[in-house]
This record gives sequence, C-alpha cells and structure tokens, in this order.
Amino acid sequence: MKKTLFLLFLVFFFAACEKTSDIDVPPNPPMMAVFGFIEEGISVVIRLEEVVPVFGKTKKDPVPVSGALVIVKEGTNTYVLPEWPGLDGTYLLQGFIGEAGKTYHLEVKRDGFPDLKANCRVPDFVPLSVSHNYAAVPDPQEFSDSIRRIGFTWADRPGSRDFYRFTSQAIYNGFSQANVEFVDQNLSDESKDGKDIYTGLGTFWMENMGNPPTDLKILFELMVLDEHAYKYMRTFDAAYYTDDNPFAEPVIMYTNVQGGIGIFGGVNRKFFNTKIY
Amino acid sequence: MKRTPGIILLLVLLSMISLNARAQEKSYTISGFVRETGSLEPLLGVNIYVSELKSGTVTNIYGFYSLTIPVMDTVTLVYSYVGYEAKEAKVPLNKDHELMIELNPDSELGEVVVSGKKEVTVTEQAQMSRIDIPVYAIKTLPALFGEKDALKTIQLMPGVQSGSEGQSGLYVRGGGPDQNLIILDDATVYNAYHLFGFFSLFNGDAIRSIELTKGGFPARYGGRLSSVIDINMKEGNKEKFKGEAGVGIISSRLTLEGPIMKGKSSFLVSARRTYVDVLMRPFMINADYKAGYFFYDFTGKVNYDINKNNRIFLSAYTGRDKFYFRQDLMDFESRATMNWGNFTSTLRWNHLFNKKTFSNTSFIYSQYALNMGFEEEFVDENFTMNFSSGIRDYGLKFDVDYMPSIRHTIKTGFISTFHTFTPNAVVLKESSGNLDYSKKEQYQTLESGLYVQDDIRISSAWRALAGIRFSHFLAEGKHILRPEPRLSTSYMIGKRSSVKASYAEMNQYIHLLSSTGIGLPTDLWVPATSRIKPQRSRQVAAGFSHDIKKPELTVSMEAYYKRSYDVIAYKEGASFLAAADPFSGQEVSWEDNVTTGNAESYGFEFLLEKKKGKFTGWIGYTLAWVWMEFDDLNNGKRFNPRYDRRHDISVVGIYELSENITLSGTWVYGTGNAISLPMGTYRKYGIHDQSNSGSAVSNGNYYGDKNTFRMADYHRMDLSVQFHKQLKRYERTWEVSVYNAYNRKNPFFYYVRETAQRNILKQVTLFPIIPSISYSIKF
Repeated sequence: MKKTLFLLFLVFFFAACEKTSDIDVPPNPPMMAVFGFIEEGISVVIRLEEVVPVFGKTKKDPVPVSGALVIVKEGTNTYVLPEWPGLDGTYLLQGFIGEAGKTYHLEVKRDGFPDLKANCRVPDFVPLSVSHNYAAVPDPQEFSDSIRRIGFTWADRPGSRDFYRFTSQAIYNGFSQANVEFVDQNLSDESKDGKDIYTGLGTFWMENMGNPPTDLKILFELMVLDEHAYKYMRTFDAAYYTDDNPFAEPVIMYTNVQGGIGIFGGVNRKFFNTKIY
Repeated sequence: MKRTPGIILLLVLLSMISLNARAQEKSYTISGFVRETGSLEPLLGVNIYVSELKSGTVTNIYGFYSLTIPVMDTVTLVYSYVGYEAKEAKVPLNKDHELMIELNPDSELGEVVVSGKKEVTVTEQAQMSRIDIPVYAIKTLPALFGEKDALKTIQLMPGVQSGSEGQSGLYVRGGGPDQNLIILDDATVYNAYHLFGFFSLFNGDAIRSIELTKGGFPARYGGRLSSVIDINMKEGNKEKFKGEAGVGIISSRLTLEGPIMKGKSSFLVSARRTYVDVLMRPFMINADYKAGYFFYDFTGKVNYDINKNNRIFLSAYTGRDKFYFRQDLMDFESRATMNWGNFTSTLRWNHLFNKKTFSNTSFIYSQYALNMGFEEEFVDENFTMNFSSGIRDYGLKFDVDYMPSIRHTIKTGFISTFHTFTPNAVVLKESSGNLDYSKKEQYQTLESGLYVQDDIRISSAWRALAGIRFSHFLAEGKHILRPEPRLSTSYMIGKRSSVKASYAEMNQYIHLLSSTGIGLPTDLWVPATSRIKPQRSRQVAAGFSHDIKKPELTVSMEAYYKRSYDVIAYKEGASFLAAADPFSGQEVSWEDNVTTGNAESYGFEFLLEKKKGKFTGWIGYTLAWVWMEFDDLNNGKRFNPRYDRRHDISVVGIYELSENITLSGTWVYGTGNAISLPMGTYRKYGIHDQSNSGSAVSNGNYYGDKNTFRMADYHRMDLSVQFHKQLKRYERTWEVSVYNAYNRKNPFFYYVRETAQRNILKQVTLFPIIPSISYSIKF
C-alpha cells in the first residue's frame, strides 16, 4: 500500500510541476505604421495603419488611421495627399507620379500619434536584358505533376550598391498559371558589384491533366529597389513565411520611419517575357 | 594586435634560452607522484612548497611532480592539498630523489596547520580565470530531485550563467553553450545533458577533478571560444574493493572500484539509470499505448602500472536518453522512438622519459548521435521513417611536461582530431514501393593544434604563463592555420596579494546550430565551411587576488573584455525544423539558415571563497554585458542576446554541524532573460507584384528591437541536510533536500494567451518547491 501511495505521489508530483501566472506588461505609447512605395510611373499612395497594443485592456483589431496630414516633398515641390474617399487610411493625390532618380521626403501628422518622417529615392532601372536557364526535372516522388526549374541572370551596374527583388510566373496551356518559387526573392550586389546576378533555380509545378503541358511561357518581373525597400521586403518575406511557426526565430521588421514603423521606399520594375516552347 | 603572437613566441624562446643557461648550474631533481593514502588515487594540483627557496610547484593531472633545485644541504618539501593532511619531507640534496608521497584525507576538512610553512595559493598562480570545482561540493549541495550535477555546480561560479530554469547549459563570459569545451579524460563530450538539459551527464561518484577555465587559457587548450571544462575520472582504488550506491526519487546509481592486481592495477565502474518509465508502467496496463522515458550512464576505467616509468589507462563513458511510444490497435500499429547519447573512450599511456620529463599519449574516440524513428503498420502496409544526426571523432593527443628547473614548467604537445559530421541522414520507406528515399549529408574535417607554453617564475614575486598555439583546420580541401598567443601573468604584492592580467586568442572550427541554446538533442554540430567561417575571439582580463589569513579566505576580482568574431546565429524567420523551403520545396542547407556576426562581452566578477574549516563555501557576483551585432539580425543594430544577464549572484554554504550531520544551502539570483515580445499588432503591406496579385498585406506583430523585454528576475534557494552514520560494514547517508525552498515562481518561458476580450502574457513556471529524499551507502 505504501508503495502504491508513493508511486501515486510521484505521478501527481510530476504533473503538478508546471504552473502558469499572469505577467503585467507596461502599456505601449500610441504608434502609427506607414506604408508607401514610390514607384517610377505609378501614382504615389501612402497607407497609414494604427499599431494596436497586444496587451491592452481590451482587444482591438488593427485599423487604418484616418484624418492625417500627409505631405510628400520632392525638390522644391510639396504635395499634400488627401485621404481617398471610401478608403480609410489611404492617401493619394491624382497626377502625383513617382519618377526614377528623384528623392522624396515624407511627413505625417495626426493628433494622438507622434509625427512621422521618412525619405526614399526611386532607383534607376539599369539591367537591359535578362537571360535564363531552364530544366525539366524528373522526380519519382511527384506522381503526375511535372516539376520545372528556371533561373535568371542579369548584369549588375558597376560602381553603385544595387538591390533587386523578383518574381516569376509560368503560363502554360494558354491559360494555366504557376508561380515560380525561389528560396530568396531579394538579392543585392554585395560582393558582386558589376558582375552577373543570378536568382538561383526557382521551381514550379505544372499540372499534367492527362496530357503533357504545352505552350509554356515565363514572365519574369524584376524590380530595382532602394536600400530601405530591399531591407524591408527581406523582413516582410521572412515574417510572412514564418509568422505562424512557433519554432521560428521572431522577425524584427525593418523600418526607415522616424517616430513610427513601416516603410517609405523606392521601386522601379520591368517585365521580361520568355517563350520556352 | 598582429604582433602579439610573435612577441609571445619570442618570450617563450627567451625563457628557454635562459633556462638552458641556468641548467648549467649544479642541481638535483626531486620527482615522483602524489597519491591518496588507501586508494592510491593520484592527486592533481597538490602544492609542493620548497621552504628554503620560498617557491614550489604543483602536481599535474596524473599526480606527477618534478623539482630541480640548485645544490644545498637539505631542502624541506611541504605537500599540501585542500581536504588532505599536509605532509612535510626533509630531503638531503646530495643526489636525485624519487619521492612517492601519500596524503591522508582530512576527515574533518579541518584547518591544515603546518607551522612556519606556506603553500602555493590561488593568489600566487600565474594563471587567472581558472576555478577548481570542489568535487565534495557536487556531492553535498542540494540539487533538483536530488540528482547531483557537476555542471549545475559550475553554474554557481562567477562568470558562469545558467540558461533557463533548471537547465544545465553554461553561458560563460557572454559565450553560448557551444563555446564550452567539455573534456572527459581527454575526450570531447558534445552533448553533456540528459532530459533536454535538465540534468548533466556527470554524476559526482566517478569524478576525480573538474577544472573550469574562463579566460587566460593555457596554450594546451584550444578549439572553443569561451571556456574549458576539464573533467577527470577517478582511476579506481588500487588497495581495497570499495563501492557507493544511492537511491533517489528518479534514479539510482552504483559505483564500484577496486584492485585488479593490488598496488598495480585497478578498475572503476559507475552506472546510473532513471526509472520514471518503470514507475509509470502500472498506470498504462490497460491503455492501448505504451510510452516512457529513461536515461542511463555507464562509466568504466581500468589502469595498469607497467613499470615505474610507464602506465596505461583505458576509460570509457556511454550514456543515452530514450523516449518511446507504441500503440497497438486491431489492425494498426505505430511505434516512435527518439534516443540520443554520447560514447567516449580514451586509451592513455603515461611515460616518464626521465625525472624531469613526463609525457602522455592519448588515443581518443568520441561520438554523439541522435536517432529518431517512426514506424506505422496498417493491415499489410507499412511506412518507416528514420532520422539521425551526430558527430564522430578519432583523435591522437601527445603532451609533454618538462620541468628543467624550479623556475620553469614547460608543456608542449599536439592534438589532431578527425571529425565526421552528419548533420542529417534521412530514410523514408513505404512497403508499397511508392516511397523509397534516403539522403545523408556528411562532412569530414581534420582539426589540429600544436602548442608550447612555459610557466615561468621570473622572480619571487613575478610569474608568467606564456604560450602559443597553432591551430589548423582542413575542410573542403582548404587549410586554415591560425596562431593563438596566450599570456597570463601575476605579480605578488606582499605575501598575500597579487595582481594578474591575461590575454588569449581562441579559434573555434565547429559550430552548434541551436535554436534554443538550452542543449536540446536536436542541436546540430557542423563544421566551419567556405561560407561559414570559423569563430574566433580575443579576451583580455585583469584581476586582483588576496588571501585573508583568519578566517582563511580567498578574495578574487576580475574584469574582462572579450570580442568574438564570426559567431553564428539562426537568421530571423529561420526554423531549426526547416530542412526544405516550404514554398519551393527546395532543400535548404543549414548554411542557408544561419548568419554570422560579432559579439562583445565585458564584465566584472567577484569571488569570496572559503575552502577549509567546518564551514566552506563561496559568494560569487558577476556584473556583465553581452552585445551582438549581425548584419542580418535586428536590422543590423546591436542587441543583447537572450542570456545577457546584468547581475548574477550565488551564495553557497556547506556546514559540518557534527560528524554525522552536514547542512548545505545555495541561493542564486539572476537578472531576467532578454526576449522579444510582441508589443503591437498591425496590418502590414509589402510591394504588390504578379505573384500576390497586388494584395501584399498581412497581419503582423511589432516587436520593437530584438530582445528588449526582460523576463522576471530569477532567484531561488535550495537547502539540504545529510545524515551520515557509520555502520558495521558501510556508511549510510540519508539526504533530505528542498529545491526552491521559498517556492519562487521563476519564469521558464512566456507565451501569449488570446481570449475574446484581451491578450494576456502568461509565465510558465516549471519547478515550484520540490522536496526530495535520497539514500546512499558507501563501503
């Protein structure tokens, strides 16, 4: 009997080890997040979002920030961006288009939040041509679908730090689409200045649907970013892919916004179309 | 800095020239071994003090010593060692002498009084940042579930921190657990933990000595940046058959030792096994599954004195942890196992070339392996998955101790280790034949070190330990050769105080990929490659030591600054579970998941120690800062790692209340760990592109800068009382101990609990007040 009681004690003892308790977290001051990518040939759009405290007294969903004064300056020009009707937190001035090679300064004021400031520059688009290497990969594990791999190469501009982001899509059978997945969509010319930049092989799957796919085209989208946009997108991608993974290291989002968080960056992009067969 | 290796090499050469000149003087050599009376166990670190010269030496780890003394009538040698009665020998210096000394254990750990004589103290040693961990403290201090743990005793020393609640992982002067070289009888132990880090491999019964070095590394050590923990196993009693056995709450242990050939050869075996699985079994009799966990250790050692100049030792350690789960249903069966463990073995040959020259040659084998298996059977179909990872070493080590005069102790030698790393090996099989996949990633590298060092007594007040190590690494056909200069020096101020300074450069050619830093079995050892460079560090330290006469105390204070380069960490967003990119399906190499950066740590350590008397113990305090800077982490801004701990205090006391009762207690305090906590949540936008159809938006957390939130401070008191009784055939000890005596709710980890109304930050505490009882005998 004593032995049984002892065993029971041990079992309950181990089970009783773990305890939880609540921890008070000091409240965070109000904060805004700003998102604006100034792009060559595209209207300038600024979005404002409230950063809602995780440990507030009541739970709140993130909401856009309305009623802010949003000013973008370029050289001697000053643009005040009004909030777009029907789109809370979205600020847009018709006719205000981003231009390559220009530097923009953002200022945001809104009662109840600290003022925000940020700068960015729209980079020139330099790569004139993109080449590719393509391979069909037999894979016994992949049942009926076909795996294809493709990588892209372009020449970097010498003498400057350049930052790239890219995507690619396969279009086959005339209408089917498949995204080409790369390990890293963001590259810089660090230690490769003036040399060829290679994306590495990306992978896409084409559904056989009974017959081998025909009429395969690849659309390659290449963006040149300023350093802020590049650093932000690296963290954006890492957070996107791993936010729900409890085993992943937390991602600290890059920001170039003073007084808040978010991004004000420059983008310039082109598309390259390739017919494989 | 670049000139430092050359300067130290020059210093070593000059000292050799000077000793050659001194060797021309007429002198005689007194040499021999110092052993424990009764067991003939060699005693390392025994002070041998020559009264007439006011100088001395210490025994090496095999108990050997050699003193070459200029001619005089008679010399008086005093052999003293903490815990043993001192012995005095008057030797006429008319020829060379061999003196085999046996010291009696001091039954009361009492004051050693040898009037008018003096022993070499910590204060006088040239080397700094080195602590001898008292083995008796490991066996006496209270421990979690009563499981005595050598690494947890080391955590009580200044400059050494624990990771999380109950963990055995060591963080030394800002370095991670991978930066500690743990050596057991010359063999590297790669994973020194059981049960996910809650217990260490080393139980005190089979341990003879533990030496911790945090800085000012002697040139004979290399391969890690932060510390060396050199553990030597007992050799076994050469005179009598002896044993120790103990029964505790979660494990039992047994150690046996005795002569094979009396006075010439002995053996020691020690084993421990947990029995949580056995205790749980009655509760699963009617369940349709069986599950359990256990770990065991086995240590064995034999030695043989071939003749007075040659001895051999063979030692081995093996230990494993095993989880198992088995479910049997009508037509479905599944089995899962996870086991991991170390196996080390060392064959050593001691050889005395002459009275001044001692050598040891070691052949070393070390292996750590993790295996995970999963098997499912459904009707006549079955699926099997096996995953394994590990590291295997074959090593050859040769060390020579040369003691040409009382002013010089020269050590030189080399070590060469052939590593085979298997970061992962996977086998997947289906009986249908649809699946038959296997993959094995393996690296083979050669790591070597060649060193020379001299412990020089420059004058009666000034000592220096100067040395240089050349480390070499061969991987992927590329050679890396790096010099590592080392220098420690001490200067006596009066008879009882000294100031010390040291400089050390270290290189580490292997990395541990650890997502948690707590010593999980899934942590992977990988080599430096062309993409991931070796880690290296430079450390300077300065200190002050003072021996207080009454009560007999030693005070040491040290300040250090360490800069580490090319240390590795997981990239933000990387997961240690990711073997393949989830979107592309492409295999991701471990090199893709990690990034390299630099670390800086600096601090101040204080140690007040009482080693003798009825009351022994120490008070340790550390004030420290650790900073890390990685291009790819925290947006390039420097940050405190999780284990940055501003204040760390430990108070340790052992009191011999009477012959039959020993009281002990510890109190520890540490600043809370630095973690990243979500402070805000918001909708974040990315660049729209063709793949996201212009909707690059997702909800995300705002963390602020990395690790800016501090968990609650950690503090805990443990108490223990041991009742000893000498019975007719054996001595028995009952131990009652309490872990976390005032039931402090210390944080283990934090998580966010979401409710409909609000989010709450929850703290998980693992160990409340835990009483335990154990019974042991010694015969």
